[in-house]
Amino acid sequence: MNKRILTGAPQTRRTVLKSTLASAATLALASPFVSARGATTDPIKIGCLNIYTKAGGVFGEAIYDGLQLYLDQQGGKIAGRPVELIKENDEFSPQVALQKIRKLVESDKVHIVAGPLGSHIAAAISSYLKGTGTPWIVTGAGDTVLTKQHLPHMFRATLSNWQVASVMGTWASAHLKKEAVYIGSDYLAGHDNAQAFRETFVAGGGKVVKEIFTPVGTNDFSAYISQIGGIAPPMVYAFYSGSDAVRFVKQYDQFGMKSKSQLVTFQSVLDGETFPAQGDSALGGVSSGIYCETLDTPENKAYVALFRAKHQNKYPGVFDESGYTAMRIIDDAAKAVNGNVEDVPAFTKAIASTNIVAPRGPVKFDQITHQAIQNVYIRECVKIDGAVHNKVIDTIHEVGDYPPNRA
Amino acid sequence: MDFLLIQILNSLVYGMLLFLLSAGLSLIFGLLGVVNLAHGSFFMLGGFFALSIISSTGSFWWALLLAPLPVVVIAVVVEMVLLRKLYHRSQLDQVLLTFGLSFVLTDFVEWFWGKDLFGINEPAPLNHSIAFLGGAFPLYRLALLGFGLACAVVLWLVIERARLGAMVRASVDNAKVAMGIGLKVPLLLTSTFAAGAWLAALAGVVAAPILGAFSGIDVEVLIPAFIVVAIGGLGSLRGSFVGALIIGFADTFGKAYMPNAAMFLIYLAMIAILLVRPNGLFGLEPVRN
Repeated sequence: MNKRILTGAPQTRRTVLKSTLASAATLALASPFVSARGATTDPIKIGCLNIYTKAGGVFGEAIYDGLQLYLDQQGGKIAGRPVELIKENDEFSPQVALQKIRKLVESDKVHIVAGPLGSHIAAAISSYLKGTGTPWIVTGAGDTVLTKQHLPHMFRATLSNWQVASVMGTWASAHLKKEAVYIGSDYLAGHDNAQAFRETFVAGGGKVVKEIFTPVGTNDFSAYISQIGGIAPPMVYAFYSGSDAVRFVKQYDQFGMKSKSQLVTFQSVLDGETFPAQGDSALGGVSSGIYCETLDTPENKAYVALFRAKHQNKYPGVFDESGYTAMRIIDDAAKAVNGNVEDVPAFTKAIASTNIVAPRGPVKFDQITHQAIQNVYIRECVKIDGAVHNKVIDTIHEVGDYPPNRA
Repeated sequence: MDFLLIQILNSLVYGMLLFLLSAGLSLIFGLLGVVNLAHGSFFMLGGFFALSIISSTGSFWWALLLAPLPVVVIAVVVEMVLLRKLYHRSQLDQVLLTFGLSFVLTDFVEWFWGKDLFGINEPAPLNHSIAFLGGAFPLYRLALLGFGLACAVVLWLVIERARLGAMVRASVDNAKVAMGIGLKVPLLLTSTFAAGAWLAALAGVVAAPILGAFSGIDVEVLIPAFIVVAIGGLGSLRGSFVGALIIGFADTFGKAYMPNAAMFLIYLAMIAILLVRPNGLFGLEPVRN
């Protein structure tokens, strides 16, 4: 080690005086800016922790884009204060997520956290955020068990897997067939879906003949599809996300299964994000979800027009709308506390009393679990003006949280 | 019995897909001794260039012909400017270079085409399914089977039988002597790397209707490609062919009878084979000294 680095300039009286004067001057000059936190012109900081790269990146970007879209519509301000969106990539790794959330809360001092997509990320950061009490709006992670913790500062402004899958179980057993094979990704959300669908399907008089779990990132489903073909059930319920969803639907069609076993799915299998890659293979599929881009309400029509003005060649999907509505919820709550989001108890209470009509329909929060209570739509894939879209064929209103979560 | 026949057919098709994926990797390693971790990226770029060509010309066949060409250009530039300087260095240096290259190429794809999930449709005469044993089997997959076999035959002829293979191997073994007997060593080395990239990109185009195109697919195909090459033996094209078929069958039948353990079965097969034959089934000693 170079000794010269360790010894500084000799400590003479002159240097001590100089440095004291310099510090005093700096403090004096800086003091107007170091005013008490909560000055009404300080920006509201929102920590956007999500996956922005590789698989899953497209959804994280969609959520962020939705947040930005609402903000732009409000001229970049919420309750009179400018807003700073701080984007951090969790890289789908719980360790990285913990580092980033610490940075957001302790170093950037964000007022509210929006995100993440990954259920395992949400699980990793929930105990940290429970400790800091930072307001947190969950925009993507859907694992049913997240709201069982009754965290006072956490609000899930999107679906829970149970909400969407259980509705399909009930609806399919009543309107479609009474026998089904389940196939889904072999991770938490896949098993969540299997349980939720099975419970309500069986309660409706149906029977799940077989459950098949496939590894995440499977590129060839031919073996599984041939297996299902051998069983020949009247209906197949599938849960997939991302590239798995694209491939499964395409290959299901290529093996001629669509006409033999009706395909019913979770929201993410047949949605705006997957249609461009799936093309006509998606037609005829029935799915349940909390949003549909062709929803015929004034709120949704305005939102779709706004979205299409920015992205001419796309229609909004679930994650786009999720970000947009999350920002609306933050805006309404901030207005209710006159912009004083630093008053965490009041701000949290304002979020809890959200009762709005979003592009997806009415949204309010369960007062015990803070899960969003919203409509679940049964959607069918059809061709509208030459493009593949989801069309609402039934609506189940005010679907709440998984009842055991409320205990 | 029907079920068995369909699964055998599935295994053969998947095996051919894997062979096409790994042929380029095996070629580059076998002839040049370079472990090309950017192999998956060349595959991915092939699919994406095909996407662009199809959206402007509407023809899959033009894409099949032209999409690998920009990838070859990139490979030639990389080889001449960067890789050539590392032939004399350790394999680790080459691995690091190609690994870094894969990050750059992934970013390029995300910047140019975006992070969405893309798909390509099967070309017109092949987008039907034929009635087969009570179900339907996609015609495109059968075509893939034929294409893979054809590629295998052509590659074998070029490398094993023609002088070209011997010339490249000579250039790698002892460049000075090779040049002394009149071989154009730099041209041979660049062409080999470019050929490997061309194969990877071609596989990317051909696999796109089944696997799609998106920015994470390079990592996704690199692992099976390496497993196939490891099982078959580094440097042996015949080994890649056999290895691909073994994995095709292990994977397909594993999924059919043990769905939860399917992925693990492939690794189990690899471990079992490497325990018995550490150089792979048909492995030669590593090319480099």
